[in-house]
Amino acid sequence: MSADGVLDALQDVLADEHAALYTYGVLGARTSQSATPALYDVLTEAYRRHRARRDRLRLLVADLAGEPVAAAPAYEVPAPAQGVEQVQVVAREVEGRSTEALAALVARSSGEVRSWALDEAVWSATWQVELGGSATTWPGAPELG
Amino acid sequence: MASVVAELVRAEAVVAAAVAAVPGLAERLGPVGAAHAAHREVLAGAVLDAALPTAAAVTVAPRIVAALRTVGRSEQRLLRSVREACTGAASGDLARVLASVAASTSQHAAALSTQVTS
Repeated sequence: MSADGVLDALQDVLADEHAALYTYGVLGARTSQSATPALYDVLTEAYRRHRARRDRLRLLVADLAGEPVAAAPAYEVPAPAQGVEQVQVVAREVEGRSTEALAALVARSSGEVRSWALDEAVWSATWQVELGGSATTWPGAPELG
Repeated sequence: MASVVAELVRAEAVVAAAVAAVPGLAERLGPVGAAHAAHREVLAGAVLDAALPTAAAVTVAPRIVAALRTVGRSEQRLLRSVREACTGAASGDLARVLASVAASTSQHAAALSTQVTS
C-alpha cells in the first residue's frame, strides 16, 4: 500500500466528513430538542462523532505531509428534510456514504489507520440502525449485494 | 481467513438452533442467517474446500429472550473474529470485504439488541 494511496483515501474520507458535518448541522437546526429529544440526542451524538473523525483525519493527513482538504462553503442537503422520518432518512444516507468511504480507506491502509477506519466504518453502519434503518448484508460495499 | 469462515459456520448454526428452539423467531433471525450465508459464500472461495468446517452441535434454550441473547453473544464473537482478520489481511480488497462483513454483523447485533429489550 503506497503512502500516496493512503493519503488520497484519507482525503476522500475527510471531504466526506466535511459534508457529513454540514448536513448534521442542518438536520440539527431543523430538529426540536424539546419536541423530539430522542432524535435530537441521536443527531448530537452523530455530530460529535463526525467532528472527532474529521479532527483525527486532519492529523492523519498532516502525518503524511499532506494538506488537509478544506470544507466547501456549503453542501446540498435534500429538501425538505423535516420531520422525524425525513431527518432520519437523510442521516442514514450520510452514514451510508461514510461507511463506503471508510471501507475504501480500509482497503488502502494498514496497521493503526486500517484499524481506526474499520472501527469508524462499523460505527457508521451501526448508527444507521440507531437512525431507524434495517441491517443489511454488505454495508459499505454495495457492489457485493 | 479459514477462522472467519469457521466462525460464520458456527454463527449460522447458532441462528438455526435458536429458530429450532423458538420457531417464532424465524422471521426476526432470517435476515441474520441470510447475511451469514452470503458472507460465507463470498469468503469461502478463499479457503480450500478441504478446510471448510462443519458446525458443532448447538443447544439454545427454548425461550425467546434467552435465545436472542445467545444469538447476540454469538454475533459479538463473530464480530471480534472478523475485526481481527480485517486488520491483519494482506489484501486490501479482502480487508474491505471483511470490513463490510464486520459492519453487517454489528448492524444485525444492534437490531437484535433492540428487539431483546422491546
